[in-house]
Amino acid sequence: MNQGQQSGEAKHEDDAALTEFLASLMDYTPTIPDDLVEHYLAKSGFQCPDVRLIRLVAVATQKFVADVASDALQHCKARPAPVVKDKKQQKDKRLVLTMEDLSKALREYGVNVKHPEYFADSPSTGMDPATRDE
Amino acid sequence: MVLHVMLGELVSLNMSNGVGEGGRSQSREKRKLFSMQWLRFAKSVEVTMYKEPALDTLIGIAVQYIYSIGKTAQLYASIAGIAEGISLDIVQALEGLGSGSGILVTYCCLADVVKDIIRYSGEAEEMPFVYARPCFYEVGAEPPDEHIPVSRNQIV
Repeated sequence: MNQGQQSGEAKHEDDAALTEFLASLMDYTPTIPDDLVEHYLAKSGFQCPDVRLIRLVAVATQKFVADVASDALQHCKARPAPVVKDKKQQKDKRLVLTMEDLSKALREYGVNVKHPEYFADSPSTGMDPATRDE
Repeated sequence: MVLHVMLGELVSLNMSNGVGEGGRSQSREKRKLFSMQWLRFAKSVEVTMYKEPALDTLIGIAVQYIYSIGKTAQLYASIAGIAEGISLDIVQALEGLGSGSGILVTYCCLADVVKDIIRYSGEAEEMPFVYARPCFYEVGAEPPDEHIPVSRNQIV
């Protein structure tokens, strides 16, 4: 009986926390616009006139992308630095979001993204005809 | 994982957005605005440069994530026998997408995913969408169908 009362109280507190959070979303503007989220939710068949729920989805998506980007950043930083000959290149070390790091990060979330390999018929495929050596 | 399966199924749907030329151009415009905003967002997580395929992939994943939430929430709402979804459906959808099995067995406490979202909203910097979102009247275009409003004033 006590356990049931405790779980009931916990559930009540959680419901209150969720209600409070949804109310606070009216003062918080997510990065993703409301009409964009509403558009894609409507495409999926989910009809919801409540702006708070739309913003909840927007914040959830924003967090998801932030986590993926952060994981990709960690993969980029963990990669051993290449041998640099020029001192200028050594100073100008920029963090680039690449498909390689992004695919590694997304794999942890169960999304399999693989950049297709590029196969060419000959070494001159894709080159400008004027620059080809005939 | 459930997320992988659902996103894998919906990739082809995202490639054919909209119905007809009007719908496809409108979706392209939305994705373009989306990518501009994500450039600002990427800088907030220390990413200074990007490869365009990676950014396009990230945007596509975000769109599919929204689509997956809506699809799952609609499923839960249908099971409950209600037409319009409520907050519980969204929470269950988020919990289901975040778990490994994809099945929400019980709802006895606030989902960890929602707690993480609450914590994230308190810690993350607020970065609203700053770019103007044009409507058909402003760009001088005609909406493809009569039910689509021309200007924001017509939107009820």
